[in-house]
Amino acid sequence: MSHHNLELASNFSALDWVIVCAYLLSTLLIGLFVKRYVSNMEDYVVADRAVGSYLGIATMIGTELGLVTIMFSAQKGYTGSLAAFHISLMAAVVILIVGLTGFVVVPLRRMQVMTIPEFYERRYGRGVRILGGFILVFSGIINMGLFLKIGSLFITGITGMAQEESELMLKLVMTALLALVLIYTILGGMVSVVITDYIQFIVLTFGLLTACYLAITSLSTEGDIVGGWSSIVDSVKQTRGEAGFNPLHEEGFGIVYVVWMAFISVMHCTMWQPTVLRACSVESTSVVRKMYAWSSIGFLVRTLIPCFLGICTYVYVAQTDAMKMIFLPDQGAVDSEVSLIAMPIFLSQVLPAGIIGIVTAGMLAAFMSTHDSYLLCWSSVLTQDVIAPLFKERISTRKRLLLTRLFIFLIGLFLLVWGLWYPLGEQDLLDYMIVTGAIYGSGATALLIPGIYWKRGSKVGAYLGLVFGFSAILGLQPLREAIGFTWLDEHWSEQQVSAVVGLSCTMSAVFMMVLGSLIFPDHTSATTSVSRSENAPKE
Amino acid sequence: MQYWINLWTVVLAGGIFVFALLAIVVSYGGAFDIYKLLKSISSKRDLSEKPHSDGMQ
Repeated sequence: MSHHNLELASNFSALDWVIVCAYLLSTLLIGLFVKRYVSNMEDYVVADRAVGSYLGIATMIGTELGLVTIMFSAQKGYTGSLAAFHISLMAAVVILIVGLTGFVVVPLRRMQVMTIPEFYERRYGRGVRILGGFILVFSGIINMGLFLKIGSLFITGITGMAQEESELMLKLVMTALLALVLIYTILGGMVSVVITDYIQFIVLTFGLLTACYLAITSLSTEGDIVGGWSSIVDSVKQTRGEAGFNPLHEEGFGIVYVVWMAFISVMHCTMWQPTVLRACSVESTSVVRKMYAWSSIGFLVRTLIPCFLGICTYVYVAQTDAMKMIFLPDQGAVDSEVSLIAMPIFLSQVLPAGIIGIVTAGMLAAFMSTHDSYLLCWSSVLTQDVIAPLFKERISTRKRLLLTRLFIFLIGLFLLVWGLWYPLGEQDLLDYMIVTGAIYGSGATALLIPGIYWKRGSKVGAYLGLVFGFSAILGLQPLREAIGFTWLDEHWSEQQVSAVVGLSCTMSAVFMMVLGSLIFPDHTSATTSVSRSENAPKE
Repeated sequence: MQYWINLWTVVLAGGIFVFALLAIVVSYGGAFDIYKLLKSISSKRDLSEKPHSDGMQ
């Protein structure tokens, strides 16, 4: 039985459509208004490095709290219960430590680089920059490849379209949304991104907090928060036992997965280009520290609240016979796509008209917020780190701006094809996101940390680190099946396999970087980054 | 198991409360930051345009 057969009316009304359309239109107008403030590449990509602390926090959370994050976190909450909260806690603790210590991000800001591959060039040379740029863009574009698919699942789930088989209508809606994102990202660049992120932060915060309140009270017979929480705890105890609470329990996530999550958190906040771009956009290194430390709250909540909504969905499904047959069948596991759409369908049942429009506008805001930042990020990396070095930097500012806008358009087209027609399959969305991110992140770990803190890191070591880091692509289940590399799947669950592969690839990348640097050291002193950062003006 | 239930209760309640507070502070401060950002870009652009137009004269 499919979720298309579900006979539950969504509370989404005409008023909600008006709210959503009004919001989208105002976002477009802001993009057009801000266009007149963009005159060069620095304005376009890093907003002239003049973003203040509050705006920095809002835009960082705005970017990180995307619809995809909300969907994969809700799915983790749905499938992993309260134990999935460890992912949020880990991320918050890690970014707080990074903020307090300035680990990696402060030296990067001090060097005034715009992209990670730019750092590669200063530290290891132009060839490493070009290869690193290619890997980063490949990883980033594949990573955001399912964004449109996930966005479409949310829209169809919350509006009730999922029960009407209106696939064509859905594709048209998503195409229109993508067009909207492309227009204001191409026109405004980072200045428009930070301002729209700020508005999206406000709308989304209100939407999520309201959704949480209504979701928990819907689970209580007396309509109160305490009753709702007790209902959740009792339900998880009965159905999942200790594995529903303890993340170290081997029937749930297990210790390998928890360690992998800790590592991914470090990678995400210190090396993931869209996050680092934020650090490079702010006005000083002290703002970087402040922004990271305060963003720890955002990093905690960005997965915690959606995860909680996923847990509420699970309890609601368990209590509702019509949904239980589809989303929690007695035999066999449900498809990843089905568990993903459960949360929006749940929200369509418990949120009243009007509120559901605001929540949807907030979620769409989150969808566009991540899209615009990522599009801007990957297109600027392609221009600055692949095309420009290939032409030995003989490209004018005007041509770079033009190229960046062209790449935004082309990547958008790719996403439309990949996202709408690529089947999600059985792989968990969070694991897909992590594995695709690790294709770049494993190599970046091997290059960035030694590049900043170890003087002996060499060019040969850097190439080896990048190549071995790329092997993290083996974490993708369809690829493993295609090449017959499936013996890991016989011993661990899907999520544990991705953790084992990711950790192994990262460790091998770091090992090869160190080994290559020791055997083939650079002949010239490779301390460019250190000397540059030391000579940088005090802030 | 009770340890984990207590931990997640505190993390969830504390996280939501602090996030709500942060949202209020950031919304207020962010509005001023936007004003400063646009002003800074405008004045920088004016400065860079001035010598050019002087030269033309």
